Amino acid sequence: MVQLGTDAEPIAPEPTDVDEDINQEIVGRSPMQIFWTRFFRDRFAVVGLIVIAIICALALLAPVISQHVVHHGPNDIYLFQMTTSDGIPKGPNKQFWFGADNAGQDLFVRVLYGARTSLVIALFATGMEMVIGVTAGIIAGFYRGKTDTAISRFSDIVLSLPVLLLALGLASACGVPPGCPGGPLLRPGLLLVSFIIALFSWPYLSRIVRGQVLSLREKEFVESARAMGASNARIMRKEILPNIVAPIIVYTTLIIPANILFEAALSYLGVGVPRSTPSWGRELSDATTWFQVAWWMMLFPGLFLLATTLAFNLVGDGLRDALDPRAAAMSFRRQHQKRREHKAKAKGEVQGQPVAIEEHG
Amino acid sequence: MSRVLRVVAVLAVLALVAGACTKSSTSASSPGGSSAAPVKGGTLRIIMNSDVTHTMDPQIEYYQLPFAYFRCCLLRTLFSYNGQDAAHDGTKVFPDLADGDPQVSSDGLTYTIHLKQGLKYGDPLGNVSITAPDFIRAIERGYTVGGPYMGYYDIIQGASDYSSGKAKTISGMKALDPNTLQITLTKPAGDFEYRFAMAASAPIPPNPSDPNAKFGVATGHDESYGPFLVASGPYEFQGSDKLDFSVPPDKQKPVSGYKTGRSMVFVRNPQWQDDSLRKAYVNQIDVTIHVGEEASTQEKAVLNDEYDTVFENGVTPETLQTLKGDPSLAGQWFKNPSYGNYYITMNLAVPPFDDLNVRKAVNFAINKEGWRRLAGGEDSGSIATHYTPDPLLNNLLKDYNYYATPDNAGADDPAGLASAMDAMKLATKYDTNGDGKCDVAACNNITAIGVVGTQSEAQDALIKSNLAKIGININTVELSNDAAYNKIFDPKAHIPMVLFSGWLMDYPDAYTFYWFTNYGGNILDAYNTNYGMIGATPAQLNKYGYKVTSVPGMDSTIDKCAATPAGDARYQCWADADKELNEQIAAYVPLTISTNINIVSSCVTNYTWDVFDSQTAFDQIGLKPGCGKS
Repeated sequence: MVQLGTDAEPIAPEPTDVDEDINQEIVGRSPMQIFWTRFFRDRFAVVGLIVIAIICALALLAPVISQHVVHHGPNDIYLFQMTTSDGIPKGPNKQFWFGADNAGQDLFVRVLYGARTSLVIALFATGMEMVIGVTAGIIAGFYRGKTDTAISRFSDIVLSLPVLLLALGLASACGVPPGCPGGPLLRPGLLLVSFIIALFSWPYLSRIVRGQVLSLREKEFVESARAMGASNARIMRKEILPNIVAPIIVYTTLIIPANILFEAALSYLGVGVPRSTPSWGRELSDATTWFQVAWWMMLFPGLFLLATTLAFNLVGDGLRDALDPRAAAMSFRRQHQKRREHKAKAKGEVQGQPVAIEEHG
Repeated sequence: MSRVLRVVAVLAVLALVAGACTKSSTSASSPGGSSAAPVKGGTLRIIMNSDVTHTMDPQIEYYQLPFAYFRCCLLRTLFSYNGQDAAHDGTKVFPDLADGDPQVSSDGLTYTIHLKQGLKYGDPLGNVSITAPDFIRAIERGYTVGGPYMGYYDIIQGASDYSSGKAKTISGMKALDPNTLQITLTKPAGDFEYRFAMAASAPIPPNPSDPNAKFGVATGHDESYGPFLVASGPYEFQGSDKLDFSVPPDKQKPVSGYKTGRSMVFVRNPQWQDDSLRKAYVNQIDVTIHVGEEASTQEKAVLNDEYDTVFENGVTPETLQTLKGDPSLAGQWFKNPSYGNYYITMNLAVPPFDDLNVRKAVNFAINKEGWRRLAGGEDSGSIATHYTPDPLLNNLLKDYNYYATPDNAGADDPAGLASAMDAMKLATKYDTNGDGKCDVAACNNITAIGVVGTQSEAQDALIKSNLAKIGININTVELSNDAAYNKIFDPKAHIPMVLFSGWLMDYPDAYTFYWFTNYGGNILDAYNTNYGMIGATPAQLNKYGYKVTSVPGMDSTIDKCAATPAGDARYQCWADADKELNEQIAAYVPLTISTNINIVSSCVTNYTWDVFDSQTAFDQIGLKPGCGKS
């Protein structure tokens, strides 16, 4: 409303801060900016991200640390220095920060190198599992009918296969020259472990994705896209896939530590990575026999695994909250509810008592 | 769950785990024994985490585990052991069902054995006497079912014709009368009585309902006679009195006291008598089988008196620490030498191990002390400086160490490494520049088979590290036990190196360490235990696809020593054979002669080590009155 002055000239009201804000150009935030803003608001997720970054950095710098800082290689053996005459490994000291493992090797160096192995296998296997599982799930859920039946039955067959027995069989048949067709892929090592993990895990993700897609394909935005002439591939890629990113990411962060432990089981049975390739899973496996007399063998790899697992979980939660519109809406409603309560307090409406107006930052 | 709560939960778990971990005491304790006078009675409770492989069938079983139960408890043989250690004649055989030593012809080929009179079988054949034809029946059945130890009986005249189907009976085995057995051999055997102390030769009774059944009560049970076993020892399976051999074999019900893979219960054989070898103090033996259970769990159960003993060959490191750190347990654990060895095998027909000097270099390079340390140190065994356990050679090679290195450290000691490199320099085909390291392609990526396991893999890593110092780069492949054996049993697999070879005596004679593992004539198409292809003929090498056309052997030496009568001459012969194997063939790197550590509950008295079974002598120990299960 415009206030009238004495000379009947309209007096423009004095500009206020609010007016200045209104006069400034309103710049809309991109989805990515919104995402990062939400994500970085989540302190736990940020901590998780930092932890993952630190572990990745340590993994990358493992050769440097091993060679130039501690001067022990991951496979160097120090039996006489770091085991008792009974073969019991010795604990942490100035030269061996995490103590020695049961083979007299530097546990600190093996934990660092183990980060490389465990992360590579977990990420590689998880990546393969994601690609196969998401593709199969989307196709099954979108096309339904015979395609869905075929894919679903095939995944049932895969789920019913005895994983460990097959893995043992592969190791036995292909682990010794002349090996099997498939060359390095089917010889015990990083590739085989990743392959086995992905091969036997994709059905779980595929089922989750299929369920989501079955419900999404009936939504109006999918119908609209179809009405506008979008192809099935485009609909799956542009309409459906973005809406299932959140559950995929959450599931992925959960299976990364599971895959690390799966690798440990395979290594224990002889189909995982050889001993010359350190991994946390293998170190923990070895520690089960020794932990009562050599607690460090379980503690340090366990802490690293725990930290990594927790970090991935926290990051996954943060990503879900930042990506999921419904979670964001819930979040907005919670924030709005809090603001209203705040204002009510400020006006002294709480319990009918006048209260001093407080400045809120 | 909110994130804060999740973090708190994790920290709580960590605290619990930290609290569960206790540091063990490090004070030393040495093993001891409980020598309270044993009394009759009680139930001995045994637990084990592996099972027999052929349902307690005496002609088919192969491993140590069932043999202990056969000897102590279920089966008597013509000759047997007294269930004692070596110092108490535990390595000697004594007449068991025989009434004395056999009469041997002057040419050493014919043995006449008289049986003790009046001995009968256990339930349900308590009125059936043990007679001479019963032993013939057992040997014939052994050949028919393809028993793994029948090779020891190939020296019986007519055995090979019978096993090949050319004859219906073994001509060299005759029952001169019900109590007299005559066995004629094709060549002398100084260890004859040992061969007839094996469970495969234990008598099988006739079937009273079908006297013409070729294999008596075992007829129709070609793959699993165990659950229908008729005992001749101090014990029998619980429920044996309910066995009914009058019905066809496929209708017969097995004994209730044997639940395959789960448990065995032995009760007293009411017919057992005239046995000076076995004391059989306990009334009953309960064997609980928890396949795959952690050894440490079972050991804890024994130390908590939930069981009386665990059937194993050594305790876990954590249990050993507990035993050493607690003086009150001194009477419950016992360390005994086992007549078993561990060694690395090199395949003589696969480069670079087709060169004697390379094999010698490997012998110098291996850190045996380190390997033993990873096995548990001194408590796990003594360093092996040659292949055959010393007691089997009457200690003639006790001070022999052809490949000596300082502290047995191999290439991890400078002098040891120098010795290894000096040997390698002589292998000019493989060390072309004479620097003491192999420098040809054949020395890279050599497959070496090991078994999965925390310590075995650590040991393999040590071997790999040692060999790398002389330019031999092995590619260790660790497999499960079954898979690993399947690989190395196959001579066509051309496995260059075996990292987990081991051998336990079949009976206390050095012959058992040579016949299967070093005899060229014993290289088999399947289940071959001569992993090094020692003594393989050119025809055999060609048959199995090897490019190498000849390898060294010692068949004639083995034949000569096998024919030597028992005594000093036989010991000397085998000692010389061992040196030949060590120096002129060098297919093996002997690592350790194993030591067995057994634990018992506080209920057990008169602990006795049975050197033949490498186990606690279940027929010699007793239980304190009122202790454990009555």
